[in-house]
Amino acid sequence: MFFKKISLEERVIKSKNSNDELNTLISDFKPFIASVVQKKVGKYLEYGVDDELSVGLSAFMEAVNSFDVKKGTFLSFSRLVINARVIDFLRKKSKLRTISIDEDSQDENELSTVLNKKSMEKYTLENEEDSVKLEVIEYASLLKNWNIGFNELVRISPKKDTLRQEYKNAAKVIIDNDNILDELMRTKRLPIGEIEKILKIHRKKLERGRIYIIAIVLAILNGLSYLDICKGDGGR
Amino acid sequence: MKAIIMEINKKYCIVMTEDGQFLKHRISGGSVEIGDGIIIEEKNNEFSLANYKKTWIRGLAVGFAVLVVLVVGSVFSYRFLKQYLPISSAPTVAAAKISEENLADKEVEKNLQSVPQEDSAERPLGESAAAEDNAETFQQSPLFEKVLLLKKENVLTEEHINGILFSYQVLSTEQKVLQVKIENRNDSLKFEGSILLEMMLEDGSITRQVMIELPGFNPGYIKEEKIGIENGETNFKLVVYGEFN
Repeated sequence: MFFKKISLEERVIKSKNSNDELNTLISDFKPFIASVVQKKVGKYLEYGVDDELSVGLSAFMEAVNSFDVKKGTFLSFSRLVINARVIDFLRKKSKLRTISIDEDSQDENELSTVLNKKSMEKYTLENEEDSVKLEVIEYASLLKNWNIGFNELVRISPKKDTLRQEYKNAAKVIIDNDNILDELMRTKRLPIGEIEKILKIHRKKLERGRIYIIAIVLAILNGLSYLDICKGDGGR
Repeated sequence: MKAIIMEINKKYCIVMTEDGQFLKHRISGGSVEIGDGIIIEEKNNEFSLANYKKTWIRGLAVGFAVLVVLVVGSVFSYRFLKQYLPISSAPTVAAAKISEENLADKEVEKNLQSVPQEDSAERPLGESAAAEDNAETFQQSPLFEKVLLLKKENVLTEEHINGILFSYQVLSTEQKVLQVKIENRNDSLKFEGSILLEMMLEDGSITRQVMIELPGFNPGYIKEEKIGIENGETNFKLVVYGEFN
């Protein structure tokens, strides 16, 4: 109703023909790409500083171009391609010091062929973990559209269970009430007066938790299955 | 408690717990991926313990601060009040000193009696005459008595006597000089009386007396005197006679 949810695979197909879409996709997946490469390398990396991330980005673009929707999910496939390219890069980097270029390139080609083959075989497997990862990436992208950062959420996230529950209830009220939800999405402002009437929560309390409530609403709408609150709701 | 990695930073990750709390968690980048599930310790107990300790430390700090303020405040307020209280109502160390001085005075009187009359010609004319002329004043009970040192040079020392500020310093020129300044700092009270300076040797014996008359010493009046310090004089007794009206 409010989110015409497009699957990742559909976005990838679109990205093949549209540079804008590709750029948006890369922008949304940058943290994911970084985390995959970091986990492979085993240290924190920064864009613009570490070459491994450039390799990761080009691997992601390669995954977009070579993705076939009939064979499975994009996330698993892209991770395999990124991992394979990063391994290529690391091996190349370490061998450059000792082995001649011809020998190295031959090895690299063999390795790439093997890994690509492996990637194509593996990416068909659906993974439950991947769906959570995808949800998180999409959630982060959604919050970004609302100018909400995770650091801000850490700062304003209520520490008390009771208060958190009150804000969750407020989020549920918004989700259940189409008019309030419509106004929120249209104006990007929380209709505090309306919620106050329904929940009998003090206006100031609602104002303090405004960002957190919006974040919960977006999580529910995005169907972030990890959250208890989303379970059984299924999002929209 | 289960949590999910939402964002990875250099020294910490931001996680979302299953109950919807966003937290910073110390995991170095490179060991986890976005979307990974991890188990984090519930910080409720830890936090309460920390809070408990914090509360105690804070309470102790506040208590200590209050104690310091009370002690310092009482010391300063006592000193402040002391200068405005009549000497008779403030039995202090100064009073004990005065009683000692009285004994010394008696000895001095004895000495004076034993000194031949011719010696009086050697004294400065003004000093001895003033002392004798104010014999009646000596009979009155003094408002203030205190023995003050002449050892420190060029150091201004102040004494507050019921609104009269008596300040003095030893000037080291060719001959040592005692410079005194008397100021009536009362708003409306006029002082009628005199100030007697008894110059003393180190053993407490009085060498001479200098009387400074302050008749009709109105508020704001200032009087300055310079008295030469003779050999061996190391301190002097300040005696204030008179009344305020």
